[in-house]
Amino acid sequence: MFKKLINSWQRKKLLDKKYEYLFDNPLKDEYVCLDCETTGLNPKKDEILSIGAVRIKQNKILMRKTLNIFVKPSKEITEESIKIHQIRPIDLQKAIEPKEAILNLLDFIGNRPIVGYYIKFDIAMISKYTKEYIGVSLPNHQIEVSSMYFKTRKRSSDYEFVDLKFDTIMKNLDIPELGKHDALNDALMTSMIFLKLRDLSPANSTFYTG
Amino acid sequence: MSLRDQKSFLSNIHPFELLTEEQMDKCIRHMDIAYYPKDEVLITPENIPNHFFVIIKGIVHEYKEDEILVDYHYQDSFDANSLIYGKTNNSFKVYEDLICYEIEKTIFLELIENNDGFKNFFLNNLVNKFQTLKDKEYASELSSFMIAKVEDTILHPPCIVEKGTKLIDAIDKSMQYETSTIIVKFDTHKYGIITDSLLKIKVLLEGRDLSIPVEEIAISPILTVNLDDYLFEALTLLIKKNIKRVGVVNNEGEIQGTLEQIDVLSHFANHTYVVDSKIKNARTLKDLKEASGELVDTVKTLNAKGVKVHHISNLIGQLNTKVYKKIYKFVVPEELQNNACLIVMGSEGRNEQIIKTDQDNALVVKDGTDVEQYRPYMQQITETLIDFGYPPCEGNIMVSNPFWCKTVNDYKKDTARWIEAPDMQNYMDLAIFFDSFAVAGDKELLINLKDDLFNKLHDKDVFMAYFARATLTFDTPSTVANFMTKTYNIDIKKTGVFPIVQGIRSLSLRERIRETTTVKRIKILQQKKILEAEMANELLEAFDVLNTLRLKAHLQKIQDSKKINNEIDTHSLGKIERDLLKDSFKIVNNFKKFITYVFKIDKIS
Repeated sequence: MFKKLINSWQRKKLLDKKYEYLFDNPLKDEYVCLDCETTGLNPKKDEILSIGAVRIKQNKILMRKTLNIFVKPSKEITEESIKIHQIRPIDLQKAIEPKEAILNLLDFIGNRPIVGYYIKFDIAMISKYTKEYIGVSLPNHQIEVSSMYFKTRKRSSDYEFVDLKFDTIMKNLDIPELGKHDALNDALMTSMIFLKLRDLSPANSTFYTG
Repeated sequence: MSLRDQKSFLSNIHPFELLTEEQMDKCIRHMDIAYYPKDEVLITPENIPNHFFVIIKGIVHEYKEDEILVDYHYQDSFDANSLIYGKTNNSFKVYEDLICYEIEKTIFLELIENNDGFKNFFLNNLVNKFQTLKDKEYASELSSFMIAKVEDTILHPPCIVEKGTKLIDAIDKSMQYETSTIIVKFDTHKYGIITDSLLKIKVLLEGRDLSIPVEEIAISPILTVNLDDYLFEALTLLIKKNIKRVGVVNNEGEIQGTLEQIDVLSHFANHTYVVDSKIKNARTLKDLKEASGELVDTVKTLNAKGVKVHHISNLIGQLNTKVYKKIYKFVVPEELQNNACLIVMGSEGRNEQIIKTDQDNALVVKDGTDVEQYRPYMQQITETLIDFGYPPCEGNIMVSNPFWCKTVNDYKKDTARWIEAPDMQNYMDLAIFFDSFAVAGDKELLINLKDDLFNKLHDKDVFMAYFARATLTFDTPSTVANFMTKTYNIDIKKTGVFPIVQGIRSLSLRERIRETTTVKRIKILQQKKILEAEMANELLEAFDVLNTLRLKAHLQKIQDSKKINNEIDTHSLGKIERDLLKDSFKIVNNFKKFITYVFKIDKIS
């Protein structure tokens, strides 16, 4: 109820009516999994360098419909950040303008729920751009794989520590490791985690009601 | 996975590496990644999906009714058949959570249509599949299945002279060719040879004139190998016949050149040659021990050089026979040597014991000769062999055992008893004895005994059925998963090698085949139309795969100073080896059914 209210309020702020579809009820059993590589961890001042996204339909990751875009940064990327995301200036040669990239992404995602690992951060990053271009932040439903994972772990008490590191989750779920620090590969591994966890109770009933 | 990652994943999987760049791109553009939890049924006869599966992670089982036929693992793909033929009798079920690629059916069929290599892989039968794998240079995993051919060596152009040429002119011509080998052409496809040592003996020593025609001293026919024979076969021939060179002919039988021992040896380690001459030159048991001690190194070298296991066992067999011969000569007094025959039996008799695991030998003494006078020498032979590192036989099947050292007549009584009142021990004794091979002394004694055995078995169908039933003694797994998951050590002798050996042995006994090696027996059985060509070829391939894996495990155990047994660790197998092993087990299981059928084993059990 509350959510609907926010939604309709958001909807009014849309600059371009073309994007109204973002607020429609999504198709059943379809998702988008995404991952962004950024210049840093602060959505306020950092920028997106690349976005990898895949669609998931039922039990399949639709590899033939992937998105892998590089985004032109407004300023030169620092040596520090290169070390982390391993995107070198040369990798950005085929990069496109942020606006084009984000609008492409919106077309790709549509109104599907968005799956990710610490997805709040990615959504915050993307929303920074969408607010500027279409007036609203990403309204899509979000599914966090680390909390799905958390719920499937048997714990002796509520205070027991659960290691939620990406590598740990991958290892415990026996997900094959693909190349690292590539937005698309990360999105893909996250999709596999999602598909696998989706079958495990109790996550089954708790998430992705959409 | 980025396109590049997908490409590298796929191109590591045979036969995807055969796709052109363009075909590969197309394939990748039309595939998804799917996830299926355990127990999900992927394919049934009623429901054939619209895509081809390639496993990224997980295990899938293929069932026929309730029986597991095949299991698929990382990098395996399925099920081309149901896509190509649009139907399947089997179902496929996820055994361990599956993550896989799914390639669209139409694209998969299009690739098959447009790429012959790709097509052949999926359409070929098992034997061809083996061949395709072997023809590819999977350097590390398959090197032991590969081998150089005669034509790969440098051939010396032959100095050929016509019949009637004066010897002096022939020698002159050979000088121009810078060779010491003169080939004499008698007729089309009929050649003789004159070598330096022949000139020394037949001309210098016998004081002959150089104007005689060449055919007067030439040795004919010249021993030859074919251009596309394995180089290793040439080496075996050189060592077996104790010669330095052979002629090389093409498929039309025309001499193309000569192959010198030294050429062959430069291809392999000098090792084999060294061991051979050491055995030849040994003047004492101590020399001989030293020489035979190097056999294991020879095996290692040959194996590392990628020599086929069948050829290694052949060569080791030749060298081994020489060792036995020398021991017999050194130990048994000369006047006793020709009244008896030293035989090796069982795996030694079949020439299939590469790494010594035991010794099975016996002495056959001529009727009317006092056996007792041989006993002390036989004791000494057994002790010598043990000293040489031939482990003693647990069943005491050794010449030192009086049971295995007696007259022809006594052996005949034994074989009669084995056939009339058989029990498991007698079946095994007969099996071992049937594989006997004469290594020293009077070979006629053994020939006589085998004739007698064949005659006694005439019309003994029930006996033969019991004898053949031993083929079924041990189970052969039908999947690799059985031992991938639980126990991953399997006894490759019991599960694979023995059933082939015993089944073939039973057929050979019935067909009166004197050859003792399993490979030659299979070929003869095929000629006699007892085995169909397809089954014979499959058996040869499977036998080779199983023995290769066994040898590899043996060598590993020697290196780790572990006790040698026949267990192999299936976890250490590579993808191709695992596939070959699975296919081999399939062949062994089929063969068991065949043996059950032809000997009517069902009727007796």
